Amino acid sequence: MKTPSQSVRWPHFRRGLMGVALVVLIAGCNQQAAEQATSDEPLPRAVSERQEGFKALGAAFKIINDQLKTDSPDMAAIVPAAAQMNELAGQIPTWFPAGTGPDDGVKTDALATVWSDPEGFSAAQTRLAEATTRLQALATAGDAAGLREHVKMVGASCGGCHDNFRVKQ
Amino acid sequence: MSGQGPRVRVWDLPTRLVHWALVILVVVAWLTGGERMNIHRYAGYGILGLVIFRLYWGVAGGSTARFSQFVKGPGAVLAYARGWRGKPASFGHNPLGALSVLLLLLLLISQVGLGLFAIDINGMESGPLARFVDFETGRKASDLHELNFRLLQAAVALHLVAIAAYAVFKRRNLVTPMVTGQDATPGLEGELQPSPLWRLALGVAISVLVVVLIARAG
Repeated sequence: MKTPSQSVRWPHFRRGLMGVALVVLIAGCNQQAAEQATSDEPLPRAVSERQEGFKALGAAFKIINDQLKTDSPDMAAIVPAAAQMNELAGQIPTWFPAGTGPDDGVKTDALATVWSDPEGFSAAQTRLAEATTRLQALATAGDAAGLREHVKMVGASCGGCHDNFRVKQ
Repeated sequence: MSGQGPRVRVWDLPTRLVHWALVILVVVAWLTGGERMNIHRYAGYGILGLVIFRLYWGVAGGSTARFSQFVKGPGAVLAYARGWRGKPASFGHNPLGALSVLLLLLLLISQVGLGLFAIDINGMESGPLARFVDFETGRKASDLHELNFRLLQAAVALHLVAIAAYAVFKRRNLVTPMVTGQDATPGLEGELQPSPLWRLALGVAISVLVVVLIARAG
């Protein structure tokens, strides 16, 4: 099925293919170089600590929300998760020491506003801490209906900080 | 356009309905993603059902919807791609267009699949299967859901560029047949073998059942 026109086009096609391969290769090298540049510096302990802290906060909130979606939420699972959330929320102010922001060359999703707007950041943190204190109280009281309503407030408090002090998703 | 031939039936109604419903729901899901999650969720369920149905229709549907009829090997694809401008009009998907169908379906499957497990950063919104994974996995699914959507956008853009290329370089209107099911391109050879109604009913039943089971899992 080889026609003259096909054999004329093949080299062009092949050259195009080589071009694509080259671009992919170069892009790959750049990517690698970029990754090495940032991974040379180990993350400051405060950064990894806060990352772990927020992951634990999210994991605890997930336990609560997963339970509340069921018909009979398991309070034995919710109570410790709510206690942990309340404890972690209170620790947040210690997770952002000076020198651990994006302006300090640290690879972080925290925005510089955390440090440039301490009052705003503190207010957002206080809002969460108040929300988790009430969350823990409702959990201890075994009030599933109250919890279902209140988690919206807790989620909004998380969002209040994520919207203004964290890189947009 | 280069004249009109006799109008022949190319696409059956279910294939066209799935196509346009996907267009609408993907746009809805795009506009509501991360914002109006209740609508986003139902758009996702709709897309899930449509994709399941399209996979089923790919083995049980009308002849031009069947994978066995239009998916060709690399040899046939290359042969079609070379001298593309001079190639006669295909009845149904051409070998190159088949790749586009597969790519779009694959990206839709991964998009919906990731969405089922995704959790938003505030831990408030999550896919119906997110309770089977931990928070970090759900967050990763959410990041990949976002990344995969960029790939889906690129594939849709490519799909639109291809349709424009057929209109400009080959004077072929691919849009009207996907709306009416009828193609008036001269020289078309082939005949649509429609699928019986019971197969359609079975496919709808399967798709709805699977979507309801998944949605209820959450």
